[in-house]
Amino acid sequence: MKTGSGKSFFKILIFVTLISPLLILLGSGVTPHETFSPGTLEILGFTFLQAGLSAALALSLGLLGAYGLEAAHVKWGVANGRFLEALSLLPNVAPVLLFLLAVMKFAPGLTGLTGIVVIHALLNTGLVAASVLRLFRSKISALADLAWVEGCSRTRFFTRAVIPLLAGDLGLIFSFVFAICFTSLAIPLVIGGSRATTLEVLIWQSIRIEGDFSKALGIAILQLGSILAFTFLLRRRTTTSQAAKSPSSHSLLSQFAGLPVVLLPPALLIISLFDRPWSGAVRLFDNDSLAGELLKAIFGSFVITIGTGFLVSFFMIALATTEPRGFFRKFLLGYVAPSSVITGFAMLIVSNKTGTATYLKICVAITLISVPALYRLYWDAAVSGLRSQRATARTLGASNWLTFRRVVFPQLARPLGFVAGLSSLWAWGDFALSRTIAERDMTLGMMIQSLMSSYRFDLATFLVWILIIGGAATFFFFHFFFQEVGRVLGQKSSR
Amino acid sequence: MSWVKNLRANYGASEFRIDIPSWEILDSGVTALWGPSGSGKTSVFRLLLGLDRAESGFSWTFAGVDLAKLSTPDRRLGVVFQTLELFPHMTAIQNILFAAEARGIEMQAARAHLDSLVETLQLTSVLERKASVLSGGERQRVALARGLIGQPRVLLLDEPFSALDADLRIEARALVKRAIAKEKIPTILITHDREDLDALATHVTTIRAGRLQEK
Repeated sequence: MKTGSGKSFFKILIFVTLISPLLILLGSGVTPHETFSPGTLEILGFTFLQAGLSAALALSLGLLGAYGLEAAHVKWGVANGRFLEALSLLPNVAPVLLFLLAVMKFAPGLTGLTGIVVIHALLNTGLVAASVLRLFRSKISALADLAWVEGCSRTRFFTRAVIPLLAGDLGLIFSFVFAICFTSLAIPLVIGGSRATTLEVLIWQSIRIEGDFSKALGIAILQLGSILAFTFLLRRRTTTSQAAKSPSSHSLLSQFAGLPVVLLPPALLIISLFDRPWSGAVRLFDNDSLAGELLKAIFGSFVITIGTGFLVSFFMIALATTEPRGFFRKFLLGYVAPSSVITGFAMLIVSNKTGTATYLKICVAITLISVPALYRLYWDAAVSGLRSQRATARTLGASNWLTFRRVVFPQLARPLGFVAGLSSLWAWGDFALSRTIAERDMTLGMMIQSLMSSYRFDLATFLVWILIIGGAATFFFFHFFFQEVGRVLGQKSSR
Repeated sequence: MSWVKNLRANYGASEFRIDIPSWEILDSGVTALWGPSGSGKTSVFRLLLGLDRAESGFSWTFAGVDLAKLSTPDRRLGVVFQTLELFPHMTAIQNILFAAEARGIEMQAARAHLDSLVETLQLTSVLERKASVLSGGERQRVALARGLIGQPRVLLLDEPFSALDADLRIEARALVKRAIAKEKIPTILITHDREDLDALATHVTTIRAGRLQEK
């Protein structure tokens, strides 16, 4: 096979695989119904409402948080500022289960629409704050210096410069958070209760409780159509970036009052981890059957996380070999993976086998959901950065294999270990997608969620510690594994 | 003589066009392509390397072989990019020997050639250092050694001294001149700097708005 046709083959294969959940749903032969029934439309309205409120609150808190982070950078230096920025992202990076546990412990009354909105907003505050901070640095920092010299106040600069100039970018952030909240399953499933049902939960109930695949498909089509329409409507023009600038000492873009806002969610998460884990451990070891279940769940999680990490790595390597550019790259950067429940639903349509097949289906489903986000956030920059080096290697006469082995892989080994590790971490914490596919509690995440549902928080907290240790172990396994592979491949000469 | 014929390409919405009906490249010495910024020098460079696609009809006859019909690796060209493009994770010696490995040159022959290049380009002290920590002048010499070790038909240099400060440039030009003379490889030099022409060029062709203007 010629190089060009080989790449095209890979591109088509990746494209088809990524959209396979949608293709499976459309080609399933299941006749959709209840797409536009009054009950479904009412829940559609509620889903829009919760996603809109969540995104608006997250954006407001995140904006305030960005001022706080900037103040921390100015006052305490770059290293401390970066540490706080990374800390603020903890709720986004850590499995959602951890934050849910914290909220259920410290604010047990936070349920229904209010609960969903507040939790969504707090979870995404750090992400929004970090994104807005980037915008400050790259788009309006120089302008802020000028405004400061000319005596502009913070409020005036906010209303006359920050909002008008960043409106397009803030709209993009809003639509990103909206899409996350619109298709969120874990939070409405645990917090929503019977009244606050979203489309995602409704699909989940149709599959898992009613066993009605036709209804699930009907609602899934409505959900997909809604999210596509919303994304299209919210396309906004953004302003041009300038060279990123270090923070200035003036206060036009910094305000310490914003710092607690952005640090509250990670603080809640961390404090909850130290709330009675040992009493949970004692209760666990007093109960033999629970301890036995735990061992099985740890094994299940281990199989799924390692499988997911390697599947994601395979995808990423395949993507790197295709050197994405043009339409294919635009597709990868713009593609939003189908929701957890739709992907899980597709896996159920493909095969209803249980046992080992269930593990495989969960691995594939988590991979299909993780790959688009990981590509957009990390992999695209890593792969695009090697374009000129690849051209150089080709000019020097290197074959594709030699270029990949000596130039590409050694430099991608570190980001590859990171994305594989991150996907495995997400897999450790998943329970919503696994619950769509699996018949019983097969993973640690599912077991923790069951314990949370029965208000056994001390047990859940102890298991969360096992999850964190397991997550860290697989994360570092992938990190060191791919570093070593990269080192060996990079040093080994073909002669 | 080596002849480039019908080298033409359009550059999308900018309406910029390379249009070179015929261009003679010397079999020895340095053929320089000189022009101001935006005249199309780097576009010509990329078209010759095969990194961008020229319109049909393009030919580049060298010793009876039409290089235009060959893929980029098969053209067997040596190259030093303006940005040098050393592989940052490799040491200097790994960078240089990568090109020999890419061309399938026997290790013994490559090592012998390497020794000669190291002496000519004064690279002894930098060989074991990572490319990412080399200075501008050192990087430039390593890139040149990498371009030469693969025994290329033609060596192409794109603004090879632009990243160096004025003092280093004088020294670098002398080293490059010595290396090219010793290796006896026909060279195409792309530059906007007239001092490069004075120091290195055997024959100069001027390019403006994508078209050649013989001096």
